[in-house]
Amino acid sequence: MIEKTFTLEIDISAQAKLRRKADAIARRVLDASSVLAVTTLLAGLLVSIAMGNGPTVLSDIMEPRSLVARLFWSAMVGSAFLVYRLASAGVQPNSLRPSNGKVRVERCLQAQLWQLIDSTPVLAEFALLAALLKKPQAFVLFLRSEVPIRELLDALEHNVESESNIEAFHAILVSAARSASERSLRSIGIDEFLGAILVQPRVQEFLSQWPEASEYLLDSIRWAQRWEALASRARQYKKRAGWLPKGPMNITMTATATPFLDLVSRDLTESAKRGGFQPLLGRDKEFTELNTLLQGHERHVVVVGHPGVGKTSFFMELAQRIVEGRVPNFITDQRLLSVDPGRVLAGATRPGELEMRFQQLVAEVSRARNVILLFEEIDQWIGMGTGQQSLDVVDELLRTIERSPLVVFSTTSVGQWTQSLEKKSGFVSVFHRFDLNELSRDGAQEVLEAHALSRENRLGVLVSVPAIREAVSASARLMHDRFLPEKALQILDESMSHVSPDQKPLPLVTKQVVDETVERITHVPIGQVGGKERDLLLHLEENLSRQIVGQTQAIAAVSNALRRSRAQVEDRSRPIANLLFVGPTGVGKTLIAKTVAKALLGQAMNMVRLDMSEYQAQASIDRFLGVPGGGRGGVVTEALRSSPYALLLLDELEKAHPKILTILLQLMDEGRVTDVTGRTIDTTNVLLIATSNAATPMITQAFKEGQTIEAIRKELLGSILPTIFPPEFINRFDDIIIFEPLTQPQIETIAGLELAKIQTQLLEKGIHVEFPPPTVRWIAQIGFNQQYGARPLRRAIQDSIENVIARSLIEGTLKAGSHVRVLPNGVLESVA
Amino acid sequence: MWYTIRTKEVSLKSGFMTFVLSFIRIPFVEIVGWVFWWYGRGLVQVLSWWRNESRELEDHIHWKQWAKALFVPMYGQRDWKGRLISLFMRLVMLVYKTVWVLVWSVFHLILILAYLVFPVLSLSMAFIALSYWLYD
Repeated sequence: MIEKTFTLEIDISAQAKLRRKADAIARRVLDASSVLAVTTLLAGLLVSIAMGNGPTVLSDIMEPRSLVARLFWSAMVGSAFLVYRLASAGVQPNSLRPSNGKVRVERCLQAQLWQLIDSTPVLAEFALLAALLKKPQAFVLFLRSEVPIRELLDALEHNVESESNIEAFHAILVSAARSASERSLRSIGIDEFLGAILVQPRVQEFLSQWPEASEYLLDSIRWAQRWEALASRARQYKKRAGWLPKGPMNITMTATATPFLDLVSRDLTESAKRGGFQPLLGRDKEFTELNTLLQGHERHVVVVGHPGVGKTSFFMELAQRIVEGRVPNFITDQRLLSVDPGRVLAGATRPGELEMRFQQLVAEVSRARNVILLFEEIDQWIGMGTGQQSLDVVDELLRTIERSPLVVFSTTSVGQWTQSLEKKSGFVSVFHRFDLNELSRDGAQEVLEAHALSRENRLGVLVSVPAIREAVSASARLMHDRFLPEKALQILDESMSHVSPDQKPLPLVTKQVVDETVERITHVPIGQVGGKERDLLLHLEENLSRQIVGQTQAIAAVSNALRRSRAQVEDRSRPIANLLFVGPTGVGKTLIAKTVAKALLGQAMNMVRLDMSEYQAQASIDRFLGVPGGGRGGVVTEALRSSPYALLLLDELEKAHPKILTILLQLMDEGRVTDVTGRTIDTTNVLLIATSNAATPMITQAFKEGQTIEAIRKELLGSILPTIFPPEFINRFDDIIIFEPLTQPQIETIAGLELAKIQTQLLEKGIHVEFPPPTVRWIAQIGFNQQYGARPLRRAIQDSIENVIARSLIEGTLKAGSHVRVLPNGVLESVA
Repeated sequence: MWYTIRTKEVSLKSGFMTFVLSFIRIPFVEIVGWVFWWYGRGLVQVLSWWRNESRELEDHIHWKQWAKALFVPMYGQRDWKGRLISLFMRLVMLVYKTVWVLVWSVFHLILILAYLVFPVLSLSMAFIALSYWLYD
């Protein structure tokens, strides 16, 4: 690497700027007059020829005395001058390649940059930034970065300098030159200049008032630059592809016709030559590996990857690389044919027909010698048949190609590889496994950028950088059973079609639009907290307290956890919260969980409730994670997969089998769990609440003795819980909440709430029932039990109230329009 | 690294004078620039275009690939008759392609020569024609 020195010599005095402007105008006038002169001369020439001046035109031209010669040669001189003016229009930017290690920056500026410099009265960071915003090319970059343009302009107005800052101006130009030179450009344009302004410390500080703005802006510049590179590759590609022979014949005409093969396969190289494919980005490393593999005489390759990682696109790109000649020599000028199992199978009804077809196919390939076969999803070919007959095409293929020089590619998913192909005798020895892993987030971002650009024009919308980033990161975070880039592409596509081209003020696909799409697909709220949800979250405690009596500590813990998760202020590689509710039965542990789920149901939170007493045996693990070999996940994993934003309620946790606790440990600690099919289920959007009646006698006793909650917690954690759960398991809980036993007044309140429900139900039938305070007290008294909390209350209401009302309803003494009062002995008294 | 940025405000001549001077200077600069450009950077551009074209020539006619495949039978006809016919056809094709390369080269050479001669020829012819016009 040659060390480059960047020098800058530039006159920015008013006089120099005026002179440059005058020069530019003079050049334009010169160009216009040259065009006028040449046109007049040529017109004169045509008129003169038409008038038949002289015997022949050619001899006239060479006869200096003729009018034709005068007009012709003058026009030629003018034309030559115009060629020069056209070819060197504007300021001819010098190559950024240094001569003697020196780059003269002022010689590398593009005309539009000169124009910008000369038309900006003050040369300093903010003044230049403001001037750049007026250029459409730079304005689009700002739009794409979702910076609020009006706010930015207002803020810029206050910051614009009154005097030029030469140091800063120099730093910007040199930094722009450096970045252009690193990208092997020939000149410095608007993009590089803007990029250089953005990295200036003062501008960085200024932009920090909009979070991530400068990062998004730089990203949108990189995006534009990558697009230029892609467009240039596309031009080269088109030129080369245009000269290649189309159809089954190769360049040197050694191939033979392949009529059957043409019928049952799709010619990927042919489609590539016609420009039918998008270039595949972010997979250069994989193609280098594949080339190395092929050069190492590996001829049969199976590409193994999860669905959605782009196996088909990988071969489309290979076809394009074959066209470009960017592959090992022995596969240039070859046809890549993807064989379609449906077409091979179609109409094969006679016994042995399928074998024959397959042999014909292989024979044609061997004869033609310019065919690379591709079997997509090769697992589909195993045991392929038409009902009456079945032929294991894969076995047949393995036998045929084992020692042949045929190049055969195939693809399969990771699941199918482990389930069938790996076990298939001979497959592993014939086919070399080539893993196509999920695309990295950066790679996926590149893919999405190219995809967005290819669709923007058609849909009449503009996609922002934050939208692209969000599509990648949200899909990576929330859609664990699918893979990049496919899942991010789905989000982007749906978001783009949700924005109307007539949208005001601008049809921009923003981060918010993407968030809404993600919410629709995953049912997990991720966007800005707004409106109804904001009220709900802010007043969650009040809302819960209305339905739950006492237990303020538990209500506060749950509410805080939910707010933290929704505001995304914490590390989200774990569930929203892992809470353990400990206390006597019937004090509202399960009720809190149910009420939270109900309150948030409108926000799509689902409740998955498991009674852990059903998970006492080791065999219950299968129910939890799925039966091995069954091909499906378990009750829990399937439920969490279909609704990742869920409240997982584990009742009576102490009864669960220790192995279940081990599985829960991973779920609680890493925010994911793997089912038997190997799928990873994301649990970072799960609110886990476990309840336990363990230590009830101790808690009840302690409260009776008037111990503080802290003292009880200390004893619980120190001596009781470790005997029930392993210590590492206890540590995974964010909070252990101790539920107090209910007191008589609390039971009365609960009784009041329950009776109010009955009142409401009857009111719907037009029956007015009153429960005076003595009745409520009476019910609370007969329904209260220190050991079982509020649980007996339900039965007391049922026995003493509901039964009486039901009987009266059937007897007909209670009917629509009745107005009764329930007395403290359960008797109904009519109210006049 | 070093840099010079001149900011010293020169006493501002009248804008009009600056424009007048530019209108005198620019045609002169551009005409001189034209000559230098034509036989300098312009020529380099023409030559590099020619170099690219020559490189792409192989992409168009695949001469080398045909030469390598001289003894490979065409259309998979591997019997001796097929091979003989192939060899003959390939020789014919190679001759044809060689002629094509030659024609192409001569054509391009003419283009480059025309480029070199064009301003000199047209300038001198125009000069002669116009001087006759003045004298006549």
